Amino acid sequence: MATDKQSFYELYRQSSVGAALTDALDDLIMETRIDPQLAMKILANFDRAIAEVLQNQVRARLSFKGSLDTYRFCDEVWTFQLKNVTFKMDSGGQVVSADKVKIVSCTAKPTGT
Amino acid sequence: MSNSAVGNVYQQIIADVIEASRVDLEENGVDESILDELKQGWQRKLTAQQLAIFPWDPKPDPPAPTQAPPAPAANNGTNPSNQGYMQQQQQQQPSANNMPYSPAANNSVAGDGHIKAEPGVKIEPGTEQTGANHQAQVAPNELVQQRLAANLRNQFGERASDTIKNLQAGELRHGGAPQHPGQQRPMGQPGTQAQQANAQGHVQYRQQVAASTAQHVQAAQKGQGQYPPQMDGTTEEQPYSGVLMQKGADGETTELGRVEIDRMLHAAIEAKAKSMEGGGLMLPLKRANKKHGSIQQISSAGSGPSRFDGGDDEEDDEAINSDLDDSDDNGDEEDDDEDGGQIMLCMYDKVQRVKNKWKCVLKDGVLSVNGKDYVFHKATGEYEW
Repeated sequence: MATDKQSFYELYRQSSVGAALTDALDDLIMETRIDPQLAMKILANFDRAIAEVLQNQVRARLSFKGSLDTYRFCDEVWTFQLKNVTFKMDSGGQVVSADKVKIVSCTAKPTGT
Repeated sequence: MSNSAVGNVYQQIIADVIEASRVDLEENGVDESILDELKQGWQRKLTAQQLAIFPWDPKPDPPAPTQAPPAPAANNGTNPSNQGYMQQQQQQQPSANNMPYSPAANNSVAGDGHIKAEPGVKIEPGTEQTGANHQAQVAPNELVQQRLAANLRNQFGERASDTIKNLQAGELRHGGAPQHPGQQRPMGQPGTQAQQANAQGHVQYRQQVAASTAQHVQAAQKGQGQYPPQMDGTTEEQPYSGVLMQKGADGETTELGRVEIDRMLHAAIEAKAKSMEGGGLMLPLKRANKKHGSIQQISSAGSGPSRFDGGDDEEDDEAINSDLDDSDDNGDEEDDDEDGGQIMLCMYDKVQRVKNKWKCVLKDGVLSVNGKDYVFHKATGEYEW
């Protein structure tokens, strides 16, 4: 797995879980309980863990519609800015709408293989 | 996909990370107890965001509902009192507002009164002047004669008296003559003034030539300073006011006009220079520094996420694109930062576009919208650009 670490995206560190972990690690670093290098290793573990969990344990499906404000594709990363988006959860039939949502999406091919 | 699945997923992630980090901790010689603190701190921060109901929350959850009702009760209990305070404050405020307002109104009225009074005072001289001008229009010949006489007398003293007499004789007017010519007039009767004028024609001609040349010389030497002696010398209000009006209007407007024109020219030149620099080839230092600063900020902010979040891409975009694009990108990114939670992080299987219709198939995503988190295994999106 050590070699596989590099193949996991750091994308999910932006998520609320990743941000919470980063904050918690920051607190520990500020208290000099751990050194930053160890924190980076833990974050790398997080990259792998969240990717595996999302891939293996989540079965929910989602569909959404909206108007695309801006789009960008660079280095195989799609970035969309959507406006007036409605998300439909297939499982619960729950509908969530948002004025503005940003989508950052990395290609699934490296992790899929 | 639902919000309820998020808690279990996050708990699984936390457990996996903690377990995987145990080895790293041992390698670094750090006590494993730190992992518990990390886990608790992590969970605490997630709970604080109220993103979802987490499995580690149910323990505090049962107390939470019991705590929740007292809270509204307490709120209800405090609300009336607060409302009472509010009413009292509101009752006090109007009175307090009326007090300051009325003096303020008085002050404003008084101020308006002063303001109105001052323009009135200012306007009155103007109206007087215009009135004087009207009077001058009513009796133009007399005024012209008076002005000419006064000017000549001021500039050439007694030498001009003959010319003045000549003028008056030409006009054959007596009533409108000024005082000083009036002193000289008794020397010659109205009937003889024409004769005197004829007899003194040659002398007057030389004097006139001398006067005209002297006028030219003086005009060339003094320039605009030609007028102040006129104003100072004449005791008559009408020419004085008229000259002041002309001079004041002409001088001030011309000066302001030059300044304004200079500013307009500067602005035009700057705008032209900016338009020339629009291609990015000739960047002013300020803008270049700004750009550099923004890149540094973004790179420092995106140091954790690295290249996969598109941070590098944005830097490249900013380095290459024109200034307009940069400003747009920056604005969008700032907006995103302000939105904060409204973000979906995922992988894409397929992104298709037909004209302005986009279809994409996403997977393994985390969506955080309206303060709630959602996870999905697969998502399909359709949107129009």
